[in-house]
Amino acid sequence: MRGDWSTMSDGALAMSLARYQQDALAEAYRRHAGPVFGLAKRLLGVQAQAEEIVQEVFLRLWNNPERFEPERGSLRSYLLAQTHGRSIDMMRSDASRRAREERDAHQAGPESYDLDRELWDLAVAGEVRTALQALEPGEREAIELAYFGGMTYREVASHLGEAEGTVKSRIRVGMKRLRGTLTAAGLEVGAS
Amino acid sequence: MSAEEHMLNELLGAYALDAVDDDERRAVDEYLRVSPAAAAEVRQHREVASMLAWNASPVPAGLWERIAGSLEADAPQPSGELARVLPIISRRRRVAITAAVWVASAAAAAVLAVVAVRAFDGDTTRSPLAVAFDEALADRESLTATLVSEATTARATVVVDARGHGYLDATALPTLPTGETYQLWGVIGDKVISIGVLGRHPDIEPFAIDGNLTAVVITHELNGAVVSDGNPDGAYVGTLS
Repeated sequence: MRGDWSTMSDGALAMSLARYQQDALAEAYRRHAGPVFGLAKRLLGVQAQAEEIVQEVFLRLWNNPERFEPERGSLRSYLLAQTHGRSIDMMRSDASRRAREERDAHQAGPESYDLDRELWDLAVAGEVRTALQALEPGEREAIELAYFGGMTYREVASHLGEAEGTVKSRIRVGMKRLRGTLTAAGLEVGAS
Repeated sequence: MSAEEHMLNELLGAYALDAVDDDERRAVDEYLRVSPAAAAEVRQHREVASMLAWNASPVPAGLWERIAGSLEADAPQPSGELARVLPIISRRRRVAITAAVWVASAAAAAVLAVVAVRAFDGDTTRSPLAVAFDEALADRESLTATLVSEATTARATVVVDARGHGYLDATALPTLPTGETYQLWGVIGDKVISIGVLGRHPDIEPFAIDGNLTAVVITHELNGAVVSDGNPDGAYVGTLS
């Protein structure tokens, strides 16, 4: 059976999940748990919380597989978006915020995020790195602080001493520019 | 483009990165329901963001076993050919079902199809979905269908624009008893698909369709399950033209 599952598309996996086939969830976990855990760990910095997020994300996939729409994007993108959203919620809760502030006090803070190091061993790391470097520094910084720092754009603006509208626009333009660069490099960047 | 639309469009990048506050998130959520272009942009931003996060980490041992243990404790057991009810918000996931009876019913109902085109009245007091519905209805390139039933005089209207964005106005359907729900089905080729579950008293519901939708059907079903064939009793049927 393993061979059958391993060759199944994400859409077919989701259909199997809707019929409560646990092997389908196991296959989805095998494919995507690493990046899901990696993102949660990076955002939260606490392994126990990251594990909690992984459990929650995969249980939500099990209980609500129809929320994943294969024609709208990849399963990995869907799971990572769920992971990011839930992690941000956890980060913004009071208790976790305190923990993060304590953690940040002992580290260099969100601006120390090193995408080069984190993405080095990815197959697409080179292209992603190139695309990031092609951004204006203000765009890259705003995106990193928002996505990996868990800040709202208002917090980013305050952190950088920039106008909120400027940061909002930089994030949007930067994301569009990233997509354009990655697409031009031949990478498939999701559904249109 | 209005100033509000411009403001909401400017938020899309931050929204996709979960970098907006709760009020802004709710405003964008509502906006995405009526703006397919904005929804597509958010999807693109999220795909890009996911590539930034593709750095896998070794998953702690035993984590899968904890998840699998939760499944055994929490998951309901499947029953026969029953699948899950699909909420309308997840309308774009379509479950192909074998229902020759519906194909036949939809074809037989061709004579009942009504093209209903009326001008958008520009009423600003209506909800964004109602406005979107009227705009689609006024578009000459849209396909429309009036769904009728032998069991009642109530009707529903479906309009699908040239981009495959559909709207169902089911406000005139009678409220169903507790424990029942309306369900929307579509006929594409020789397949009948479940577009979504509408609840007991549906309003104007958006949906998206890929492929050549030729007919639509609304059935009323028991809550909690979607059977492989819809309940034909009292179904509302219409063909698109």
